[in-house]
Amino acid sequence: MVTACGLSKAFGDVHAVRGIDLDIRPGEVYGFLGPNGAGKSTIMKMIYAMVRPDAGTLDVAGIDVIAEPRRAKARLGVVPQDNNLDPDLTVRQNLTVYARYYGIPKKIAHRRADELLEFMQLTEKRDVVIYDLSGGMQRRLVLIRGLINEPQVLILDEPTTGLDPQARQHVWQRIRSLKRRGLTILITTHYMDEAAHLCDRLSIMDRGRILVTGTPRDLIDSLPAAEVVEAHTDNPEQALRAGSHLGEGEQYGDGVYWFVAGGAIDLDPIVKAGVAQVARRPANLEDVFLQLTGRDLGE
Amino acid sequence: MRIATFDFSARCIWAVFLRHRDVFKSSIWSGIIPPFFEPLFYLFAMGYGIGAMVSDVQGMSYAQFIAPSLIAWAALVAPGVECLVGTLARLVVQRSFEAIIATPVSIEDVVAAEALYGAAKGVVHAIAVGIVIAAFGLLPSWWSLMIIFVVIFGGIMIGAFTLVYTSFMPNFTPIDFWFSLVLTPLLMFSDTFFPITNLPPWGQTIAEFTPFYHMVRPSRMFAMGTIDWSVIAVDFAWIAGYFVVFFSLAVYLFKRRLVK
Ligand SMILES: Nc1ncnc2c1ncn2[C@@H]1O[C@H](COP(=O)(O)OP(=O)(O)OP(=O)(O)O)[C@@H](O)[C@H]1O
Ligand SMILES: [Mg+2]
Repeated sequence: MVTACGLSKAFGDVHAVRGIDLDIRPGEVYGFLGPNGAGKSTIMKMIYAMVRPDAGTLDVAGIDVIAEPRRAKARLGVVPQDNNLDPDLTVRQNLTVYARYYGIPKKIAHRRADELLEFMQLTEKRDVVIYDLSGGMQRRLVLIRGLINEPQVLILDEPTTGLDPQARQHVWQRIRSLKRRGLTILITTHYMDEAAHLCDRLSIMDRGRILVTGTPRDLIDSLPAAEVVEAHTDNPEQALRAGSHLGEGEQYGDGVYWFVAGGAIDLDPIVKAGVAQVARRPANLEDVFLQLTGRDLGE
Repeated sequence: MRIATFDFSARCIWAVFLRHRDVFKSSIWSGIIPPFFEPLFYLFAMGYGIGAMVSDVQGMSYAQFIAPSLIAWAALVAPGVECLVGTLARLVVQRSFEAIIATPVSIEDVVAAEALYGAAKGVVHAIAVGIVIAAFGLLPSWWSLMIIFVVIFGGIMIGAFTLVYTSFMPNFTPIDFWFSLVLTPLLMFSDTFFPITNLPPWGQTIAEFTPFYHMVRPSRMFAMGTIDWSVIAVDFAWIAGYFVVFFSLAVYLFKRRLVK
């Protein structure tokens, strides 16, 4: 549904994307995970023709985006990282005026706008101006604006950033229901749990490159063990020594990590060594990233 | 439709134009009343105030001389303000264009719609001013109705001209340059308030090359009914020529700015 080959983009001497390949299947929810500046948004923008690739090929639903941006964009729903709603218009007008850019007849546009407002529980706000919406409501409106043309492919650039936990749950639920309708969804995020929850497959990126691609399960299963003991302290070397009975630990920044198989584990020696923050938890995507890059995924 | 390497869609241009119209409708009075009164103040102050001290100009009363300029004025000032202030707000503050070009709308369409909207505002203003000026008996010929075409085509051209400047503006700071150093002299020295034959020869040559001169001259001919079609054809050719140059440049510059 979305295929790319050797896609690259540099802004001056910043190499934002360095030769990535993609093969995203119809109906798939595909995630991009990576720290700030990894190049996630740049990939998204190349797909909706806001950024022109320096090299490589890029197809959406069989249409060459570079040669025929107009046709490709007609099939895409775009939710950019920034809420670029039209502040001169009301909530509902933001949808109906946007529908006009796609050439959707007025009647259908109005019906869809009302359905979508309902879908995202914004019906009450339909005649409000954008400035009077909270950040989270604006985000939800941008989300449904991306659906007004009934796209085949939906691009979500950090859809839940700035949402409270409840709203995030709500949006996740909506994304899953869109997936059930067969929509292909590309999503970038900084949240492990979001990626693990929503994505059929995901790519972990850093510095313009894709490091690994796979299902969340496969990526986590590729780790040395299913569980992790994680400690944070001012004196990581000491913690490493105190936990030597757990095997060889790994240190990244102020964090120390041991991959451990199931079964009983004694954390006392580490606690006794004065490490206040220590816990055992299931391995997650963050650990995959740490293993690959030695860096934190979040920031 | 592809013209040279530009990609236009009439439907998309219209969709963006309608967005502007919808916004205009929601603040219709502030969009009509101020630009309606301003040229009237000029008519009184200059036409009748200064005019009382001025002998006839080219065989007309001074008020009669400047009346057509005040209609053409709408086609300079409306797009000259809208395609700078309005467009810049949408470009850098509201970032509307980034949302719009994520749809099938192209940058060419956006630029065309901006120029068209600037011109449309000019038409609305020109009609309001024209009605009052006609009521003062300063539009003696029925040919005056033809001024609307000067306003439409001239307005689109001025819109494109303005967009070239706008594309360079990082924010609102350099806006005064445009008003003081571009719009005001165009307004003053284009056969508007005095015949350019009063200028020194070099000034006259410059004036003949300015875009607004080619809008005022046919407006005055239509207003008076003293039509020389060869002159009007030349003026419209200038307007068309300027349009092609400014519009191509504006599209190129907006593409450079919006698509990285
Ligand atoms: N228009 C631009 N001009 C110059 N540099 C840019 C531009 N857009 C992005 N970059 C640079 O390209 C790199 C990748 O940026 P990008 O926005 O794709 O990252 P990201 O993975 O989306 O990060 P974030 O998680 O912060 O959104 C960064 O170094 C950024 O500074
Ligand atoms: Mg981003």
